[in-house]
Amino acid sequence: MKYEINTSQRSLEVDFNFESDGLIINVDGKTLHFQAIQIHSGVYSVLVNNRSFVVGICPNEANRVNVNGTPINLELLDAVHLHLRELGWDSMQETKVGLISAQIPGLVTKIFHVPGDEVKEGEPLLLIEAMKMENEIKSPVSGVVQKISVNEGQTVEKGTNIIEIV
Amino acid sequence: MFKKILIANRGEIALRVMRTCREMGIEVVAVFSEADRTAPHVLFADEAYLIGPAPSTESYLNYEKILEVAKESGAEAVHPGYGFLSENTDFAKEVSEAGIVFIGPPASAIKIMGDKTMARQTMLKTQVPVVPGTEEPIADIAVALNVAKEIGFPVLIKAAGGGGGKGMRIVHAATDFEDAVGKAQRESQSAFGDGRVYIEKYLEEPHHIEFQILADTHGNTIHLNERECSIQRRYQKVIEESPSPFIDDGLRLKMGQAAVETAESCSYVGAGTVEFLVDKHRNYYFLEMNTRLQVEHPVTEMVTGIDLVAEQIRIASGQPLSIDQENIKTSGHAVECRIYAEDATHDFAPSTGEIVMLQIPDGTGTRFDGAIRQGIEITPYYDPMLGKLICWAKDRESALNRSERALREFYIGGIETTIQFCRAVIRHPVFREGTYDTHFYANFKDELHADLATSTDEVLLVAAGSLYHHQNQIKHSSNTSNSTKKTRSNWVNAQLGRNA
Repeated sequence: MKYEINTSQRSLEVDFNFESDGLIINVDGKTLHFQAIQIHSGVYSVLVNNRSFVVGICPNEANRVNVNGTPINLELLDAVHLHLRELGWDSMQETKVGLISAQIPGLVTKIFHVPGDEVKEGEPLLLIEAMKMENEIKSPVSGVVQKISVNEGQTVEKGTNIIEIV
Repeated sequence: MFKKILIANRGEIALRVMRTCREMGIEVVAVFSEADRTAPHVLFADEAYLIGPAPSTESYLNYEKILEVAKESGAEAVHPGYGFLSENTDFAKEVSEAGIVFIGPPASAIKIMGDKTMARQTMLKTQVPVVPGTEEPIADIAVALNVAKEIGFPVLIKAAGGGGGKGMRIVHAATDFEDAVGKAQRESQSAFGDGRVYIEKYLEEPHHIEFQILADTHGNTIHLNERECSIQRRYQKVIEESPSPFIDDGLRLKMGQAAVETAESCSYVGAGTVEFLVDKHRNYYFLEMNTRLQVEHPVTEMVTGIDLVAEQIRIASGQPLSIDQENIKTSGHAVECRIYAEDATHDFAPSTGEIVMLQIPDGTGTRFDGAIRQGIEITPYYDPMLGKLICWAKDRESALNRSERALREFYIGGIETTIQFCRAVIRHPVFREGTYDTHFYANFKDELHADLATSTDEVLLVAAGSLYHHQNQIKHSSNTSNSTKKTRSNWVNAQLGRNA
């Protein structure tokens, strides 16, 4: 199976094939013997050509993998996705950049805007207090505040939609 | 000596204190919130009492309740740890008035040194130099702005009642001043219930170097050398080491004497820390005194061989210091890495959730002071620090190599941590050379984050292969029958650290 691995910095084309003793990875004309044994839910001991790694798969974020403690964000595209992209579809672009959700759970202590306000990229939108620290949530885009879904004094869970900018 | 001590804290410091108590043959009483029923400190303790709901204002800061438990349990002394009630004069006073020993300095010393304004005023009467700044907390913003302009930007805004980086802001220009004061006041109000802030001069290439002191009730005060704490972000310490690679024996001697003078100026008793800022010209200024055990106290313990908690307890029971200044001998080098539940790649946002897998490093010279285990939930209620990794070796280079090795061995699955960030700091050439100051993070932020974001093709392939393997295995297992293993362990009566 042909796959494309993408990170924010680069892209690699690989071929994955399951065989009896593990996974065979072909990349740049090289063959790697990949063997993963699950040692705990979502945690694997991996041997690649006898080099040893401990790998954790983040249960909530499908594209985040931890190798020897280092988190790596990557995208794994199979032939179907690659073909769709050639046709002009990009499944990874569906999320709206202006829809901001809480990256941390905590208490909303201050909201700097009301719907209708114009904001610039990088401008503070609100403050969320978590673990006794005040965290400033900045706007990722320039635009107009469309909707604010939280109030000052409200506790939010991670992932809650808090503000929308169009 | 005491027979029973209540530890008015949670997390790693509660465990740290309990360990020494048990070694001294003292029974330990834990207090816990509803979120902490099965927390490590509860499991370790001889007795444990529920003191309220999860938010710390209703539990670990509820001193009436804690005092009630102290009386009920028959504890003869209370150890406050750090944070929470450790610098609360009312608590210290009420504990003493109830006939229970507060393991810490007298309320009067906490009051003087705990209030940065009063501390400054006290220090101005001594020979110890202080940083230029306001002597009164800010009341009027316009007046404050004028003072800031007189001192000269950049200035630092700090909480009068705080510590640990909370309620602190650096301001580079007059236009940002009012906004920064507001933020510092709100943060300080929320963290310490005290919104007063003050201003001081920001020094050139400053080092944050602190001295550990010990003082008994018999008039003896000594210092146990320094800890270099210049690796900070958001004014919170990340890595500390002893000895400091920046100061020499001459300066060490002078600063040590200044630390002792500081402690004596407020009739200090117990373990305390005198913090100094040292600029690039090696001028030192008194910054503040922390009237409690510090988070980073283990680096001093590792190089001096002295158990600071044991000394605290001995002093509190009225015994004289077990050692005098001439007999303090240090050996080797110690480095502490603080492990936070934070995502270094997303501006250190707090990370909460279950620890699904845990591998704590060990081996020669490796100490971990923590309070975590597999399956435990990291909640947003308390401090994000999970624990501290302290590595000791015969010299600085070996201690850094050992730290790097241990960090690589450390695995906490399920939440984001600062383990890798610490690794990036330790392998940075400027840190390795020992020529860093408190601007290290600001100056090398991009390099550190680039280091964190860089992965070799090999690592990327391991990540991708694992993801592919994981996804296909999930597809497989949903087709096959239940693959859950039955537990075959005979250890049905696991002791988990309790004495039976």
